[in-house]
This record gives sequence, structure tokens and C-alpha cells, in this order.
Amino acid sequence: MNQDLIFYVASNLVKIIIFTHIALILAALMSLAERRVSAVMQSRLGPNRVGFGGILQPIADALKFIFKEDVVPGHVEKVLFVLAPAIALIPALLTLAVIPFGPPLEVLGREVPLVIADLDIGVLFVFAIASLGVYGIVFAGWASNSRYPMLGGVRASAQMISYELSLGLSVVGVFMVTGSLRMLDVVALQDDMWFCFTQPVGFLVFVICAFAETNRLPFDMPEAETELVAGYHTEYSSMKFAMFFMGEYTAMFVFSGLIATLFLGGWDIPFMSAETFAALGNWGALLGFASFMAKCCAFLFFYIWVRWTIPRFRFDQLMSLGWKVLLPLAIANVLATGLFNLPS
Amino acid sequence: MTLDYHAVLVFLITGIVMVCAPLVMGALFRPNNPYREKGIPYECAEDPIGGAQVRFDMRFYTTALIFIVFDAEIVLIFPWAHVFKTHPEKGLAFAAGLVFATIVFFGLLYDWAKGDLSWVKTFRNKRRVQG
Repeated sequence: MNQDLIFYVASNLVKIIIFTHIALILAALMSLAERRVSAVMQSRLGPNRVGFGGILQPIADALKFIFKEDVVPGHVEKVLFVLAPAIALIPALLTLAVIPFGPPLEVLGREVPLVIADLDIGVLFVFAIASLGVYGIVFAGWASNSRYPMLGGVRASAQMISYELSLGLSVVGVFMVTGSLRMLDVVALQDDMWFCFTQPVGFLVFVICAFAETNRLPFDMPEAETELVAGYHTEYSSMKFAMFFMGEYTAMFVFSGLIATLFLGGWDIPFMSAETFAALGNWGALLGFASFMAKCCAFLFFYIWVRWTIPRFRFDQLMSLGWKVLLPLAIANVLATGLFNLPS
Repeated sequence: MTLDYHAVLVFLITGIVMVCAPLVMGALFRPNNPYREKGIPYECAEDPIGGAQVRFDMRFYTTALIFIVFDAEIVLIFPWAHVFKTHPEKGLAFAAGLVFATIVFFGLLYDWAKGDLSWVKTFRNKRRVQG
């Protein structure tokens, strides 16, 4: 064991612990923000009693989830029923591994990139892992052995696989320009111009698909409260129920991070080049980290904003939007990108 | 580079621990008071008749089939996109992509015309499928 290896392992462990906590704490805060922002948009107050203006509400919720009875009804398939919430949360968390949070930090004379695993196939890894999340929902729906969860689970699977195609295709345009699937390369190439300006169609398709993949309104078919009670988690209670919500919020954070990385320049700040970040040293790294988190939070706010702006789609509208509008649009975007990048 | 995959593995283990810890922790504190009414499926206070794991709509199966076909095709686009920037013969590379995308697009048009992409099929489509 040489010193480099020890340093690599230690720095990675610290990064893993910090990033997981960022994701989970943000997911908890998101559950509060969701209710507070919803309340503001509907001229209500929202939860404002626990702690300082309601900031400790997530902790109170978590404690309540832990102390509530965990009802496992007799009619469920036990193994899948217990497994489903874990499968819903773990892939969402795992996709964080390839998202770069900021410019490299310098610690003890060594460079530490602010990404857990700098994989060559970064984005393929995200798609591979994120698509596992659908299993959690399908298992939950099937194992519950109850009508509403069953409907929700089947709907969710159809919806998520339909939008996964357009999601995958919409980023192909980005890779044709970058020539690399590595997240750090994608960020580095957006120094001059963010890809949301050079790839507007891909950006639009990706954002719409991100809403569908995270089961958010206007595409929250799997859990449509007014028609399916609570969809796939109707039969769940206590901590298992909370797992689904944490999974959903973590997935929202991951997709915000992906959008920020792929289309909004990652940690880049407009009119600030990579050299300026490097010249600032560790302060530059922190500034980049703050910029990245600001973009993520702005997008998380956008999620809530859309939720209270656009009503829910019907299921047939949802399917025809995915297959008949977004998929041809994504294919056309790939071809258009190729055409624009031909040497004249 | 393989080191990075080890990092992913460690991250996966951390994730599993962080998910399982609250699930197990709660078992020490939470009450356990099951009774019959709690154990029946939730159907808005109606007593359920029969199980829920029944045959469901055929259209979900069709959607899944189409998905597999297109997903396999899209996976093949990724290597092409990866080398497109550095390819010496840009025109040739684009032509190859154009041919491939056209085939994918015609596959989509075929499904569209068959009515498999429409969730609510029109009567005309239905009769054609039957006939």
C-alpha cells in the first residue's frame, strides 16, 4: 500500500459520507420545502411550528416514521414487499456517484476531484442504475396484492420505460458535441457556452422526461391521489412508506444534478472561465460547489412550481406525448446535431 | 479506472447500510398491534373480492415489447455518438447515423400506423388488427 492509494481510499470514504448526507438531508429539506412552497402558492401557511419557522419539521417527521407501527398485511408477498422500498431508494442514491459537485479541491498537496467515481461511461452508468428504480415501484405494486397498488405499479412501469427512451436519446446530442461520456469532460466543455443553449431541444426533452421518470406532477400517474388513493404505496406504512418518499426526492435531486451537469454547465458560473476557478484555489472549488448546489436547488424549486401550475395528464395523453412527440423529437435532435456539426 | 468502480461498490454498500439502518432501528421502538381489519387490502372500506394479482391490460405488454426493441436500438446509437466528434470522415459518419436513425424512425412509424402507440385505439385501427 503506497501513500497515494491510502490517500485515495480515505478521501473517497469522506466524499461518500459527505455526499450521501447532502443527498439525504436535501431530500428531507425538500419534503419541508415542498409543503411550504405549496402553502405559499395556495395562500396558506404550511408547517411552521416545529423549530425555527418549521425548519425542524423533517426531523419530527422522521421520528414519527420510526415510532409508527409497521403494518405488514397478511395478503402481501413478504419478501418483495420488504425489498421494494429499499430498491426504490438505493439506485437513486447510487446514481449520485458520478455527478461532479464542483471543481477539484486541493488537500495535502493532492488534487481531489469532487466526484465519487470518475467513470468513463458516467452517463451510461446513470441510465443503467436509474432504470433499476422502476423495479422498486413494480415490486411494491405487485407484492402489495391489492388493487390500487397493482394499478399504480403497472402504470408506473409503462410510464417509466416509455420516457426512458427519450431520456436516453436526448443526451446523445450532447455526447456528439463532447465526444465523451465522462461527466468532468462534459462540464469542462461547457466553459464557454452551456449546452442548454446549443442543445435546446435535447434540454427540453430531457427536462420533460426527468419529470416523468421521477413520477412528479404533471406525470404522477403511478400515485395519482385522486384516482388511485396513493398508488403503489397504498399498503405501506411507517419507515417503508418514508423510504419511497426519500427515494423520490433523492431521484429528483439526482435529476436536478444531471440537468445542471449536462445542460447548465455543472459548477460553471457565467463569464468565469476554468482558469479563474483554478486561480482561486480551494475558494474556487467552494464557489463552484455553491454554484452547482444553487442550480440544483433552483431546479428543485422548479419541480414544485410546475406541480402547482400544470394539472395532471390523462394516461393516454401521457403515453402519446412520450411516444409520438418526445421520441421523434429526440431522434430529430440527434440528426440535427449531426448536421450542424458537419464541416462545411 | 478500476479503482473508481471500487468506489462505486463502497458507495453501494454505504447506501444499503443507510437504507437498512432506519428500517431495523425502528423495529426496536415501534408498537406491534395487528388485527384483522388492519390486515385486509385497502379498498376504501369495501371488503375486497378475490385477489389483486389478476391478468391486466394487454396494452402494457405491447408497450413493454416496443420499449425493448427501441431501447436496443438506442443503445447502438451511443457508440456512434461517442466517436462522431473525432471521426476523420464526418460526412460518412453522419450518413451512417442518418441511415440508422431513419430505420429506427420507420420502425416507430410502423408501430404508429399499426396503432400500437395509441392508448385508445380508434375503431378503424381495431378492425384492421382483427382482420
